[in-house]
Amino acid sequence: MNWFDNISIRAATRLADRTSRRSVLGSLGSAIAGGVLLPLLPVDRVFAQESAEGAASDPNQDPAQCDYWAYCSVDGWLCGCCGGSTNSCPPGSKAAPVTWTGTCLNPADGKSYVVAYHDCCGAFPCQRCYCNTNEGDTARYQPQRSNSVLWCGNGGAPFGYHCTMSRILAVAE
Amino acid sequence: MDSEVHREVHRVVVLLTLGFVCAGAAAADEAETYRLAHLDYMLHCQGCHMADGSGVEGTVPPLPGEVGKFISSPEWRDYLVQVPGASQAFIDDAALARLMNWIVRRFDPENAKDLKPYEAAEVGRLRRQPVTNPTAVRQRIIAEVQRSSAEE
Repeated sequence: MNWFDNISIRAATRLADRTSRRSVLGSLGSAIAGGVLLPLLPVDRVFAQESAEGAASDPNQDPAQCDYWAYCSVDGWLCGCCGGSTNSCPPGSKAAPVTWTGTCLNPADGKSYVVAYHDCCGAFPCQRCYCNTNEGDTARYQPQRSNSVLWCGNGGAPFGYHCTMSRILAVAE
Repeated sequence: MDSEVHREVHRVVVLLTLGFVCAGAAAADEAETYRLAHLDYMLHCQGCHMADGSGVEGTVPPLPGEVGKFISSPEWRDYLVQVPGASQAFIDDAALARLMNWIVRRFDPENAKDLKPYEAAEVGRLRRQPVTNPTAVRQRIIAEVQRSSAEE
């Protein structure tokens, strides 16, 4: 065991020669302060969190992706990419009360759900994460089921389409 | 004597059981009718009329306390089915009749007491004669109903 003691003593002596207690305390302090400040950096976490919650391996279950099951008839920019979330408008925009409503099948449980797509209005076009799935979409001359109609400027919502958010309302069957 | 009493008791028990079973089945049917009508409301009406039926001021009329106000008037009754949102909904006549009954009862329970339930054949006939100017037709019917009730 002598050889092991010698190596340990040499390494400890070298470390003590090169570093001071203050430098150790300084490094430790930086690490603690950095760790505390890191979460305060201005990064969009809502969507990241949602994405992490969804099974990242299955795009059908990941609200950050256009393949998410509840986006089966979206035609627009996903609000989660625009500073909002799957089901809320980004700050500075307002949800149009009039919505496209339909059903989407969740393959995870085999059930259909009633989903409403709200346009978020009153801000510049977000132009991120365009999603155009169009299941059950109708032509514009049947506006009650056409997802191409923009509802901003209607029912008290301001003009200017920003993005689309989705709300799951009920189990359909 | 005893056996007669037993038979009578037995008969009453059987009848009561049957009664409960039938009542249970009817309640289940009613619950399913309600669920399907509510589902159709969400899919075909709620987008504009809102979940609480409040509508959009100046564009989509409110339903609560309004939709059944003149339900005894044949013209109003027809009009409710003939408006574009109802007559053009992507559902069959039976589902539309079920939906119309649900809307009147859900949003105007007081006036729904006077509702003679819509039936599929009636709704089918009416939706093939849609109104082209619902606002004008609504105002005319309301004015006529109010005039005739003032004369009475």
